[in-house]
Amino acid sequence: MAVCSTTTLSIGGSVFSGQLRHWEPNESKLFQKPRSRFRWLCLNDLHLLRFRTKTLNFNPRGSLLPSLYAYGKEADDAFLSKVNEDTDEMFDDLMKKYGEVVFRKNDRKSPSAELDDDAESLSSFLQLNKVVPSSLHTSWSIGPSKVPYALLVPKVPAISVVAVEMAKVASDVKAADIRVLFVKPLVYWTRFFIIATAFSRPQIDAIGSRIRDLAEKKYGKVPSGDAKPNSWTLLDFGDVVVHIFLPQQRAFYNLEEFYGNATLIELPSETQPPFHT
Amino acid sequence: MIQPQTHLNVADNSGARELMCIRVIGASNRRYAHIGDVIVAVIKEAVPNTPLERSEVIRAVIVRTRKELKRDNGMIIRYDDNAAVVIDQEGNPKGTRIFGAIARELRQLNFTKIVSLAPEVL
Repeated sequence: MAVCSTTTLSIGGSVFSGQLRHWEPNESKLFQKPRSRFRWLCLNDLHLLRFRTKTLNFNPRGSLLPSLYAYGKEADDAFLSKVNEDTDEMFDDLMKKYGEVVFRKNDRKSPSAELDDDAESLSSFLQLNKVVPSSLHTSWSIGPSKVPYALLVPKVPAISVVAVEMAKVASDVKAADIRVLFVKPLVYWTRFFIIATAFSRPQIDAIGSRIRDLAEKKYGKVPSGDAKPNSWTLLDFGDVVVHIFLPQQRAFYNLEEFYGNATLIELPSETQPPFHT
Repeated sequence: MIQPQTHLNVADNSGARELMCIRVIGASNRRYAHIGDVIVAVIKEAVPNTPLERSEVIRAVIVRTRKELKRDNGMIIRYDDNAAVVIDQEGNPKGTRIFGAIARELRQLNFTKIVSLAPEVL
């Protein structure tokens, strides 16, 4: 199936005018004129598109792109039935051809906020890969009855889970005084700080390599920052930044005081009493 | 565009007040340093009773330049002064806090420590 469409959208109202060129060998009856002008009402369809793009984890971004989905007055019913039949195929083809669907929202965000959203959805996608059974992936379809799993999973906890997991790994290697700070409201460039104290450089090395291994194996992320153990070792995973200090440096730089307004996230291991045999 | 003999302000609380660039670290014949580059500098003026003294040779990272910084998206950033942050051989800042706004390019250049101590990141 080969479909070409050039569409101009004026979103904000419910009526869109589009120019659609559609060529199909099998359905030549419907689309005999290669070029025709359509007017189409598609509030519902826009919602559907939105719905589907979210399930596929595309980010709605940018201003205007060709629409995937248009139908004319004369071809209403036939085209709709066809849509119901092989919507998925058509979408896949069109998505391959045109990329993501974009629509303009009223609440446009700043580029940095959009960047954050990208990072967020990326990390929640990474989470999904681990959590969702494959049957759920296959059963996604358009319709209110089947809610896509990606929308059910809250986004921010996905990264906080990663941060807490990293903190747990650090506590496994006996890092002391571990703090997980939610710094997103204070700085735009990251979400979580993990601050930990280690008592020697080999221990710093151990904590750093454990966290690196976890991130690489489980989430496929490689940190930037210090490669060698340093008195202040920093691992930058993008949304999570890990600081490992020697006690002296921790007191000297006093990062907790500098980020005093950040929300402290409770670690489960701290609340439970340590198990002694 | 920082070159040897350029005087720079110090954007941290390490105790130095003014630096003079004496070498740009990088290629053997490198002329200019920009934001995020490491220079060797000499302290021309220092706050009394601090660990750093006048005429001491240190390394510093440039964090602000009067020469404009261009980004891929067309944004241009130009500061009012040339400023640097004193670091040690390991790359840790000698001061504990950074003053003034710094550019986010420093994070990509692996100076996230400086970024995490800064009050404002552009």
